[in-house]
Amino acid sequence: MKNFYALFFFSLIFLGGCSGQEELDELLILTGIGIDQGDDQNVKVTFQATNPQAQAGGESGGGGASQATSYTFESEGEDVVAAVFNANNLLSRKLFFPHISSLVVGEDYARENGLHEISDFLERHYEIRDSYMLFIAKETTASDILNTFPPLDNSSIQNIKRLVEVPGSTIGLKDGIELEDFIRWRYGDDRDAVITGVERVTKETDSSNTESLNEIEGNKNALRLTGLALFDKDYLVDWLSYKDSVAWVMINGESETVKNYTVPCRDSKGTIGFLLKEMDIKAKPKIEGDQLTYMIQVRGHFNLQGMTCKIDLSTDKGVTELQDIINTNLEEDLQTSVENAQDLNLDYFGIKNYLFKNQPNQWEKAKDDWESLYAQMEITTEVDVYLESPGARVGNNEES
Amino acid sequence: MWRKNSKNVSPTNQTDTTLTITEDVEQNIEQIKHCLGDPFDLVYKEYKFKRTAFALCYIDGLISTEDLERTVIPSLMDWFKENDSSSGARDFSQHIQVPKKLNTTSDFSIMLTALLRGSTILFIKKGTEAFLISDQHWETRSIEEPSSQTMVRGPREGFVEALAVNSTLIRRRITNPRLRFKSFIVGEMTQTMVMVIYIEGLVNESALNVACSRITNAKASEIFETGMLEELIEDKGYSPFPTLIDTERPDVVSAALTEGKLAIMMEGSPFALIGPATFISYFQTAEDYYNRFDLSTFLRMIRFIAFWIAFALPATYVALTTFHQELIPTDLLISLAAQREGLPFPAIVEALIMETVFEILREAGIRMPRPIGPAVSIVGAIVIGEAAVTAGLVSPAIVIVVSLTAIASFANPYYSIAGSARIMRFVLMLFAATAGIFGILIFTLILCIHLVSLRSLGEPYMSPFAPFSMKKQKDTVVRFPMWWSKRKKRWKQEA
Repeated sequence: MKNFYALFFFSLIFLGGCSGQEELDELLILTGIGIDQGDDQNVKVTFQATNPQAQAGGESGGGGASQATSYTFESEGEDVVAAVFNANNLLSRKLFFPHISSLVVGEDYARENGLHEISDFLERHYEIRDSYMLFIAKETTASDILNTFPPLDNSSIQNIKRLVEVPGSTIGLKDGIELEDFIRWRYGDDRDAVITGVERVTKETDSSNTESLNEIEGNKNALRLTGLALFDKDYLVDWLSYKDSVAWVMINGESETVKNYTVPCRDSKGTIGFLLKEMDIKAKPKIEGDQLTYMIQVRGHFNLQGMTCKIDLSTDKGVTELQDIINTNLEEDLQTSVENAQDLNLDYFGIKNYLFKNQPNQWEKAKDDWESLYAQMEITTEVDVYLESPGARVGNNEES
Repeated sequence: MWRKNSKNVSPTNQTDTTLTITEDVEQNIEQIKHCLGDPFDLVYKEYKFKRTAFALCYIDGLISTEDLERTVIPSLMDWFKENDSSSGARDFSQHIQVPKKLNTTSDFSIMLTALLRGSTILFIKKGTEAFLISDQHWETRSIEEPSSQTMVRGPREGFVEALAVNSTLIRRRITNPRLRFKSFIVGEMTQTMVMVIYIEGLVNESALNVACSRITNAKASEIFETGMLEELIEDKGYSPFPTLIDTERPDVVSAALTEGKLAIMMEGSPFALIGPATFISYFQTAEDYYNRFDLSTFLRMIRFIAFWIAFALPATYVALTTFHQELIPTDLLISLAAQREGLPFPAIVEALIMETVFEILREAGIRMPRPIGPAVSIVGAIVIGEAAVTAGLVSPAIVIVVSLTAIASFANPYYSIAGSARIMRFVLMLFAATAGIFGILIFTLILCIHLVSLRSLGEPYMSPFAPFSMKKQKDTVVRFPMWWSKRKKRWKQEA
């Protein structure tokens, strides 16, 4: 028996022979992938890889600051797989996928080819996790986004990932939208997907050179989150406005816990800016007979951030008025965004799925007439938020 | 070397068994001289009287000559001036008062052994018995602070090489009539005195029996340190783990005794062995009980972490950087990758080089003559810390890994178990280099299986985890406050 164990260990060590072993300097650590339409119906894949020599601090860096912190490599092929294979022709190191943090798809590609090929390849790839963020490059190509040297961050991929992660963006998405979300919506839940969009702030300037980072104007190189990209099945069809994106985020419960919002005053010119907090949102579609209704209820409170309306907050009446304004505006915004979805005949709020899960019998009967049912859907919104704090002051400059 | 020289020789069969103690005092002394090869330190003196004579014989340096001259010789003189030895030995031993124990023997070889152990031998004319005045006294090191197991709070006394001193150190701590010292002679050639110490009624009987029978049956020609004894007492097998605790501290031994363990000490070694040992006991120090319980618990956790680091950190580094790069956070991976740029060796070779260099430095640090110390540490610091990195031989990360490992391996209170971690670290590195985390898992599982199968003096090594005992968890990883446990020790029924 002892001999058997000895044999086992030795065969493990010697026959195993370090297979699968890779030293760090043999790997090209990819941080992001971009996918675009190439020439002749080809697919162009852009890899963003870190350049460790430039990114490491301290003395061992070798190259130091004179080198770019990231490099991008482009490769074309008949499909995504071929393009990835072809990349090996120009790279001296093994492509290392696990550290990819985002995938950027060019708008053209998303409109014409759709995402099914990409999602299949990426989900099938054993080295790639599904939990990275998806972005659609608005009005530009993915390689353009990847080829940008952003200010403050080491690479554009890191930059756009942090744009989502750091709270406070307009649409206020909590976790970003990941590939697995897309796949679940598209193939699991039978709902139309949305994907975060990203764009260059100034499209004219060339930001693919570190030289451009020497200027004080950070905007030139900056990337910006846009409204959500709207998909019909696998294909990009439209872009949601910021307002609609915010509504989508709120209704789907993907919102950050604290959320900026601005509404106009009732009569006079001016705006009210506030922080929505501790929102409790319920959105329930319901079939009653032939009528589909969608009920949206929002409860929560808000902190006033800034106000240029003539409202006297020191009185009960003023506070009620402020709350009324905010409630009605929020109701309208939510209503409009759902109506927009109806107009597009796209179910990105997941109404079908909700009905299927909660009213399976009615759904069986009604699903054939879905289009007319959806078009005639009634929307009721009920927003009830109250003022938690007017901020550090109660008085108002606009008071006469 | 040792083995070759140790032919079956012992002081007893060196002497002619036919030798007996004769009535002639001078002849006795001649016989002793003959047996011991006329040694320079044999001191003997004959005192002759009208009707009788007696002789004293001892080995210089093993007895207290002061005692002998002040109390033994005068009283003997007084007695023999007036009495005849022909009245018999019994008479004599009853009337004379020597300060120390007085034994008699008629066996020459027993007498000879006693002489070598430091007894003064008294021969009386016309008597066929020798009187053994046991008054050993020799130079010993004074009691000092133990150098291998230091602590911030706690007694500063450590054991010395003299068994008699050590036993008093324990007696002073446990003033209890049930404290037992059971002595054995081990070593055919060295005839070394070994003592098993325990508290009657409290001790784990089966462990005691195992220990006693193994000591009795130990076949060794010589032992000089409890480490050698340990090998004879432990279970047979090639375990890298020690199964007896060694300590220089009397308070640790006393604490172990009150817990029902037994201690083994021997003449000539300041280290006591404590058994049965459990794996967990290597992470507990006596100081744990002197400090507040929360601090001790925290420190125990630290020791566990340190043990794990000392055991697995280099292997984990190798496995992660060569097999599982996806497990490393991106930013860290990038900085590790930057350090690896342009390095000549794979990570495992790097790790092996640095670990070996460190082990050499460590060994050199122990063996070198004191005055050279600073030189070695300067060179070591430069070689390990600076030059190897600057020269592009190894990456800075591996230097951190090795130094962390080194520091962690010193955090263990017992040198012996730190040594096992030290050896197994290299094996684990090989597994990690061939099969990554999978290899680490395999080896760790093998060790776990091995550990639960280990026994120390017949008791399970991994107790109280395997077999699990909820009651005993009070003092394992966490030390709960003293008032959690019942104050009274439960004594076993008297056998």
